[in-house]
Amino acid sequence: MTDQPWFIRFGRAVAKGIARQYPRSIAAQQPDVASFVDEAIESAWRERGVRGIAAVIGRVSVDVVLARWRGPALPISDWRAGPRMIGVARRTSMWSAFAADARYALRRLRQAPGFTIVALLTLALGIGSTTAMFTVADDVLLKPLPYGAADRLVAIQENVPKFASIAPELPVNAYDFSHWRSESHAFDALSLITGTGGILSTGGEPVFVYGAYVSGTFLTMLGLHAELGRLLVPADEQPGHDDVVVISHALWVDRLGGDPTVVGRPLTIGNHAFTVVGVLPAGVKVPRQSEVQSPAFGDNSADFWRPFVIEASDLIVMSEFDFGCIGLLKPGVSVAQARADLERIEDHIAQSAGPNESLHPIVRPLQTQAGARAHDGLVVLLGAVTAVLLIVCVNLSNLVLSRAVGRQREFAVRAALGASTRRLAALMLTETLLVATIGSALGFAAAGWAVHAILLTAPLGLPDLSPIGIDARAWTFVSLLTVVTALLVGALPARRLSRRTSRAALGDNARSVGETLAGGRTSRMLVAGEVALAAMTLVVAGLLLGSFARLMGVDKGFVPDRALVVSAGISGSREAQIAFDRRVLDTIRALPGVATVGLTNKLPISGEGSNTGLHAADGAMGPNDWPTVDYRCVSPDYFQAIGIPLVRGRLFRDSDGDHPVALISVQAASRIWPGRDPVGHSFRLEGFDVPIEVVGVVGDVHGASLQKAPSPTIYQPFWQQFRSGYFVVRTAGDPALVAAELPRALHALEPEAPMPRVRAMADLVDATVAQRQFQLEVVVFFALVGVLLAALGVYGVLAQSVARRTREIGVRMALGASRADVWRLITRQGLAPVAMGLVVGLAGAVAAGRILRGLLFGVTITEPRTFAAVTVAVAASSLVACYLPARRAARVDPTIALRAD
Amino acid sequence: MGTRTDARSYLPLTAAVFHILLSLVDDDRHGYGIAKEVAAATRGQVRFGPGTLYGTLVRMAKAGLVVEVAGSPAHDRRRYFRLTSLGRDVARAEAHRLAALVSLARGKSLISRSRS
Repeated sequence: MTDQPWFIRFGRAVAKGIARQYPRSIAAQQPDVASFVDEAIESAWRERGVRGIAAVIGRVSVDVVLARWRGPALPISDWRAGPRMIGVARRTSMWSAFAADARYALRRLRQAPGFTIVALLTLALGIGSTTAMFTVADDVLLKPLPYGAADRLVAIQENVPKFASIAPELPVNAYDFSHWRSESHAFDALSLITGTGGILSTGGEPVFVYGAYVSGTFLTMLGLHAELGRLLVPADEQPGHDDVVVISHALWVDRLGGDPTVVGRPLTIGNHAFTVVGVLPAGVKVPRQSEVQSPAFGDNSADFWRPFVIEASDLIVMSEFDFGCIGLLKPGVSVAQARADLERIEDHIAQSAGPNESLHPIVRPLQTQAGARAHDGLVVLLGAVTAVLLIVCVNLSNLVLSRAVGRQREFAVRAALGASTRRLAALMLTETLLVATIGSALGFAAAGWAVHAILLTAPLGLPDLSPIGIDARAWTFVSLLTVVTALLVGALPARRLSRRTSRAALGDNARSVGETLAGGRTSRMLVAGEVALAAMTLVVAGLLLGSFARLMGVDKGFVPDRALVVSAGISGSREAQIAFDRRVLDTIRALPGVATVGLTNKLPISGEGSNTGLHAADGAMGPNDWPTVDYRCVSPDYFQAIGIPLVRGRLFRDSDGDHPVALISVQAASRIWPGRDPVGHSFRLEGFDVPIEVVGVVGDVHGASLQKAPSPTIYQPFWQQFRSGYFVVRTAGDPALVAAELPRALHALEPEAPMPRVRAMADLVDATVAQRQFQLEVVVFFALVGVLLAALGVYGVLAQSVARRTREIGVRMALGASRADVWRLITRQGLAPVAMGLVVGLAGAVAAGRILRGLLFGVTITEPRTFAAVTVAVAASSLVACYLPARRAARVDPTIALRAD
Repeated sequence: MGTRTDARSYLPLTAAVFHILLSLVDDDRHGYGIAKEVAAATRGQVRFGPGTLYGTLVRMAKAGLVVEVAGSPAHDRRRYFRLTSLGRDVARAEAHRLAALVSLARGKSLISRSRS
């Protein structure tokens, strides 16, 4: 990044904005103040990071408040401190004045419980939700990962132009990796990671445990240390020396009883006998493959780590991009330099692979990569809650302003008794500061709860690397937010009230002062502002809603209703596993309520699958046209069980035996044999010589996710290319009955196998859209709150204005204006700022759309329907808000109105 | 505005003014430079906001305690400040005054005689 990070620029803008509030005497030094702020932010960032920036903003805010209270006179001599102090102190100390103001403000708040409760609750909502979202976003996106050299850790992926249609960012190829590791000068260490798992039978009931293959340097480069024994080392990658395993603290305690002599003990996972060499400390988070790469990938957090031995079969040039990769940069090496270094090596590899091949490394800070899936969503949610907080501030500001009209006389008396303008402003600000502080305290408590709820239940795609929670940074943030809120709410009323306090207010003529005071332009500008924010949030909500509706309406290609998914398996030889799978299929099929059951190695919409190159055996295509296909192994009944239709030809038969056959999807058929019947033709998989005969064509399925269009897919019988994992059960009756029966039946079949897991296919589909659904619900909620508050704002300002203009309206009516004229007059006055705000808000939504793009599906940022709907919604709610004041105005009786004064 | 010449007529100084004078004793500095020097000298105990600092500096310049000098050409936006001889006298007088107070306190054994 050549430019400065956004939060430095943001922090500087905030600090300068606050610095603009200095009293006029200091404002004359504006260029000096500005360059002071620049330098302070810069050096604070260098020394203390984001915390430093926050501290500078805090200091400037305090300084502004002090300067405003103290007035322009910054004395050279401190008369009060010296021996010359005689007679009356020139002014009371700031703190005692503040305490008196606070006591008075508290009394006033207690006298107006309605105002106080509304103010506190809306502030608590605004500040609480903003703090909660900030905390999560800060912990995920900004705070360094909890690893030794977190700032030097990078995630590496590859871009392969010929596979870019599958994913522009692919995991890493082992061949490329081994070249990087031997030729690159930019890294202290480079490591691969890929998930694995197996049945653990040591220490109790057999369970399936997840683990990972990692390079010898993987755990040490994170700066981790073993609690017992040692971590993996590069020597463990030597074939023959790789039967070692490091286990998690949880596995050690749960399955091995926390045995202190565990190091050196044997442990059997799957079919493999390991020796335990080390135990990780409790609470340590080790990155998973899905956290270091972009393609979605449903892996589980690991409980054991075994050495990743790169074998000859892994070294396939320009194919098998399968592995997660992290690197530890040498000190002083930038991400760009590391990328350039890898690019040089990639160029050599691509050139040696063929004339049209090309390869590019993608290097990112590990934190950026880990937070990538959550980033856009967090930014949008943070935007939505900030918009609501601003709307709350604007509303309260208007409310305080209208209350201030009633206090005009009180302030005039204070001024007459000698209170300075600044003392009056301070009194006003103390009140809003008090409200903001209490509101913040409520909000902060709510934020603690909300963060907890977000972590427990909210699907945000958060990486599981840093601890997330309310901490000192959240405290700093909420304190700052409180001060800023108080200034936002109180500054305007304080300024107006203290400035307009005049002798006139003491006389009978108080009304005229009231009119100039709250009248007008400023209030309307505030209303326009809040309408703009509400409209913007509503557009975002509308676009997310549209995306979600489109997504749910997508033709998945299969039927999830009444389908169950069972994961079951045993360790053992390939033959033993195939035999087990056949027995499971027979057992399930025999259960009451089961219509049919099939087997697959990978479920639909479960992330990127195994992709492989393919070419037609009849040689119709050149090597560069070979399509890349999704590859799955299934049993014949799988298609019926999950609801994929057979379009042409036939399904597999047991009689196919070892004769290589395949079914291909409609898309694959049209890619490979456009316009022809593929049945009877053959193809070869890249890297294999055996021709595979196409026996039928089946419907397209969303393989990776709902948002990603179906890719060309081929299916082979599971017994020919053995890979398995999931049984799909279609039930005839109530799925719950079958789901209850299944585990027992399977456990009876094979007591040595772990208890099978049964899930509804529909739940799996829901889980893939859960993140969107959550974002949608939160944004819709805040958008509705925003619109409601904005409508209240419109109502409040208009109602006040009508109350003030009663006499004028009376005059108009006496001069012949009809009730309809008055309706029109008032409604127009109410809607003018709404129209302005709407225009600004819709324009803002278009501008903000860039962040949103990644979250949309099937709708464009400027989708006219959404914008039209938002316009109608905002206009309608504002019309409703105008109705009551307009009706009151139209009912003004001219005779009474004119007599009143 | 005429400048008064009797250094003692400025005493006692506000803490802000004294800190600024001290920070300028050994070198000319610009606004943020002063703030940094003061923060470093007081181990972060005293931190100036820009408004307080420039508000005070303007007053001090008017009183003749500091003068503005041309900064380095590389940073033409910055204004550098230098101690005048009056400013130095005032700082010295304040230091003497405080030293006298401190020795009074020592005489009462309120604080120890060694450097605290």
